[in-house]
Amino acid sequence: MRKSGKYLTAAILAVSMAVTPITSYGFGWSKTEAAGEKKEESCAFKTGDTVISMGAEAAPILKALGKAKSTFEQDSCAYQGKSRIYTYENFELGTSTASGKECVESVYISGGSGTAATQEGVQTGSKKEDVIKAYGKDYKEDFGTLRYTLGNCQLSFYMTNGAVDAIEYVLVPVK
Amino acid sequence: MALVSYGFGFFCAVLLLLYYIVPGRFQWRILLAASVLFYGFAGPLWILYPAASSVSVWYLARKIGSMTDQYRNWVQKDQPDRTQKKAYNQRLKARQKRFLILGLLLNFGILAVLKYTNFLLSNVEGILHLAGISGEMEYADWVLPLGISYYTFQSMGYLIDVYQRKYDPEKSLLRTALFVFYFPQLTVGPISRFDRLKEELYSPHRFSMDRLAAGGQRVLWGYFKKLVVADRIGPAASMITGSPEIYGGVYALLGIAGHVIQLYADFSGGIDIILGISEMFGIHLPENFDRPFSSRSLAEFWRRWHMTLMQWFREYIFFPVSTSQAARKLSAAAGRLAGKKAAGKVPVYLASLTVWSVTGIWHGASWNWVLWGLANCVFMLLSQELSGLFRSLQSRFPFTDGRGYQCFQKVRTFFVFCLPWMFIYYPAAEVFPRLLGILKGEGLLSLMLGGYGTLMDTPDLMILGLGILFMALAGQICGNEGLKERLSRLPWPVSYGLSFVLFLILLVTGVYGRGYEASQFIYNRF
Amino acid sequence: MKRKKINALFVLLAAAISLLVLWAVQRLLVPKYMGMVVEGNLTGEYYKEVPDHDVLILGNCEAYENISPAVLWREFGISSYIRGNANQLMAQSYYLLEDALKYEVPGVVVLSVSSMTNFSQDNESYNRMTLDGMRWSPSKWKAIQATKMEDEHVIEYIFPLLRFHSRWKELEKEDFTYFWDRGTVSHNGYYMRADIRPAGEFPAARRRSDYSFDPRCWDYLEKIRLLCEEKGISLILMKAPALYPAWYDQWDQQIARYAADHGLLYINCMKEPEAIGIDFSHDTYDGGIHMNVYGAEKVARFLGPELLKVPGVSDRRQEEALAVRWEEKCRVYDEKKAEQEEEFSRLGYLKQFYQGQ
Repeated sequence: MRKSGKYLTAAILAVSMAVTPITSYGFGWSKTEAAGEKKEESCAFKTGDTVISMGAEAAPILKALGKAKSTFEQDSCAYQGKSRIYTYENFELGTSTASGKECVESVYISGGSGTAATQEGVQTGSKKEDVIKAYGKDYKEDFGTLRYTLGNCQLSFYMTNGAVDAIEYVLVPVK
Repeated sequence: MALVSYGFGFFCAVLLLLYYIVPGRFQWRILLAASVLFYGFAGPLWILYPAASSVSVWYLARKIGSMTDQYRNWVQKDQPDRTQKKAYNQRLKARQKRFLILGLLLNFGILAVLKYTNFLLSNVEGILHLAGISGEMEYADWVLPLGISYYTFQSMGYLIDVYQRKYDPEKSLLRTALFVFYFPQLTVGPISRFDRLKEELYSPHRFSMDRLAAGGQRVLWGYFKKLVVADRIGPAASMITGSPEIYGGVYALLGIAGHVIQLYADFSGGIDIILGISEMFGIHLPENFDRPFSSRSLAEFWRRWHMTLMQWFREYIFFPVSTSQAARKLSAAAGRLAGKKAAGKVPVYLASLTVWSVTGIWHGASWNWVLWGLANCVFMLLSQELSGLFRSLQSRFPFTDGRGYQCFQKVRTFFVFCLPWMFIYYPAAEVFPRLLGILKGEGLLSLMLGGYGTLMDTPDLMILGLGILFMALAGQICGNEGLKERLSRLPWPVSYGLSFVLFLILLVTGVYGRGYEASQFIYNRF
Repeated sequence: MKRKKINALFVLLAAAISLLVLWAVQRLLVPKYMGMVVEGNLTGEYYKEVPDHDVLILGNCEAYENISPAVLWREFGISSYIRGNANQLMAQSYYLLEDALKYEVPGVVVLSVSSMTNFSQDNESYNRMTLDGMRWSPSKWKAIQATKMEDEHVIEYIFPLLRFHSRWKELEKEDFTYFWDRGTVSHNGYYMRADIRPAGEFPAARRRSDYSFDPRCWDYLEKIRLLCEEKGISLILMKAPALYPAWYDQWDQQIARYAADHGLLYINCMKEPEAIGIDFSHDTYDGGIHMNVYGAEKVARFLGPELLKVPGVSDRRQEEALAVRWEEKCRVYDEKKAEQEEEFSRLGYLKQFYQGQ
């Protein structure tokens, strides 16, 4: 093959290679955003060494947490599952059982200042500015509550007089 | 649109109706429209990929074809002598080759970029880490267009055939497009040859109840293999290979064997569905399996497994590589060093290693897959080298002619086929320790005392066992004849009765619906 | 010609046998709901009734577990039926009402409002229990379309075998016993429990970030109201007595405002504990979440006078045909109640609903 032919072939090869990733951007595919991944991790509640993620299997978490102060259990309608709320020192852990598997459904933190905190350091008594600093401005505000949706988790900060008085993690279906 | 979905069943039913209502000359156009729609279900812009392939292949094939026509016209008109013809042909071939290479680069280029970019990046990352440069690559999260491996290979085979003047190119762009991405083939193949498919693909077909019934029976058989056997054994096999710390020793072999059975039932089941659907349209696609588990050697196994892909590799990689200049030079060098026998083997070895490396990388973008391919290659070459020894042993021991020995050979072939899969399901460094564990028989007692109960409940185990037995029996009974021919010899009430029973078993025990995850066909991912 | 006719006959025979076998297999594999979970039969039992009811009660478990139709008849002469089911959604209540109105037009519809708190189903089993028993009609089709979950398919409702085929591994004696006929599990839609589990402690009600009801729930509430208005039916909104989950004041206010805006009667039983006479240490079978038969009878006694105030609803105990039917119903009701009371006093639990805890 002549040199000019080789150069032409190489150029076409390079163009065709380049075109493909560009078309992928055109179709709306994009690389995974590292920031998004970081946000997913921050929606797990951590107490001591135990990380509680929404939707996670409850058994190992309950084992790690030890005996709860109290446990409330409710059968779902027509015995299609069980809901439980385990009350610990600083928080409540809610689970639901379906198809024989108990999974984490919610974590609720309330009480006076200096108790349980989120992984970003927000706790009851924190100010609204602290919440926004830790989690950003991508929230919804209803009835004085700041709500963040992060992957399969909804993180709500209930405010009274400008200060957090309850924090809730709730499992939400991912669409 | 998944093959295992209600939507696909509805799609095919409506399409069949439409196909036989329209006049015959519109039928292939209906199939093309259906293929576009099928592809577009994932998102309308996806169609650009096979469309680009179709347009490039059509244009380049026509270009090559028109040059060949010019040559033929010149020969007819000017009546040149042999020397003139040879010179013209050489110049012509060189020009045609440019268009061929352009087509190959464009189409394989797209496939390579989409499928192997992350593989390349991971290797670069590995090299940088070895050089002491830390950091992480940002990997692409592109999704492969449906069937890209299959339609790329099929269309490139067509382009190469036109270049080699095996047949004339198709003039119509739309007909070329139908050949490239005829929808039944997009999911798991098979890879067809244009000259063998074109007659039936473009010609009109009259409605035939027999053909519909035969196709329907084949589709049913395919879904049985997929939903009753493959999707039932898959999770259990995955449990074993996914928890190596729990399931060691002989469990590893059980897991791999389970995956192989899953792979066969899944892949051949998918092929049966596709061939059955296509048959209902009056189009006979090539067979992809010929009872591979009745093979007595690994080489025979690979002649009966994924036949169309292996034929493609044989025709477009093995023969060209083995007859290439590089191979000839290496052969001559080997001849000088080690004699005539070595000279004869070098092209075969070179071509085999090339084919099996490519086979491995076609299946998956990782070095594990290359190891898998090379392991198969090594086993077959070793078997070839030892064939003389085997023949002399067999001549000394008469029992090797008997059915018992043949049975042993089949079982041996099955396990030899299983072994390279260990590179896929376990890290490469763990393969040999796991092999040792198997040979030592670790965990055998636990397995025999009911350890399998942790993998599958008894009713499912029974159905799985019966399903595998049924598949084996069907293969034995049908033999070389094939399912369709065997069933066609039965009176229709018996044939219908068998089909209905199969349908009922599939309906009741199939792994589909609530509680079961819709399992994609394994070879769809390639 | 003769051969063609014989062939055609064989084809028809083969088709008929195939359909029969498929029908039988489907009938065998669909759940019979005659064990611990009986709710799956509630919707279908309505069609066994002579459609002559003054009051239709709609809603989820707060409807079918908390009001006794037997007491409504016996003490007030009101003929009633509860078209309720486990986790029955507002949309499903609407379509069940639409369905019922093909057979009768009651004077009153009592709608339990607790299902305003969620529009989407959280467990596919509830959809199957509520909808499978409905007779095929445009109402059923629309109910399925409105409430099916993402991974549900309409074809699985048309051919339940596709949904329940995996039960081949779980077949029990009752699948064969009740192959042809399932009997009746409810008392005019009422789910009877005569066991007692006193109310205990509940977790404190959590604050919510959002107290608004899903707009789609409002849509269906409005549809129910308009349908009742069109047919000349009085609509009463009701919140049953239940200690858990919490019925927030904010929710209560929204319903009360809606009722006031449209001239509807809204009864929040949680605000009338003394009037109803509920004793949560006795009148509940699950610790205060649902009423048992004693509580349900008290709620019925409380509702009765309110219902009689509605024009078109009257004491019909003098109507002979109706009285004869209800006498039989009450006999069965009393028998069942006595049976459960005896079992509970003997065992401390009811075997049918015992989970081994």
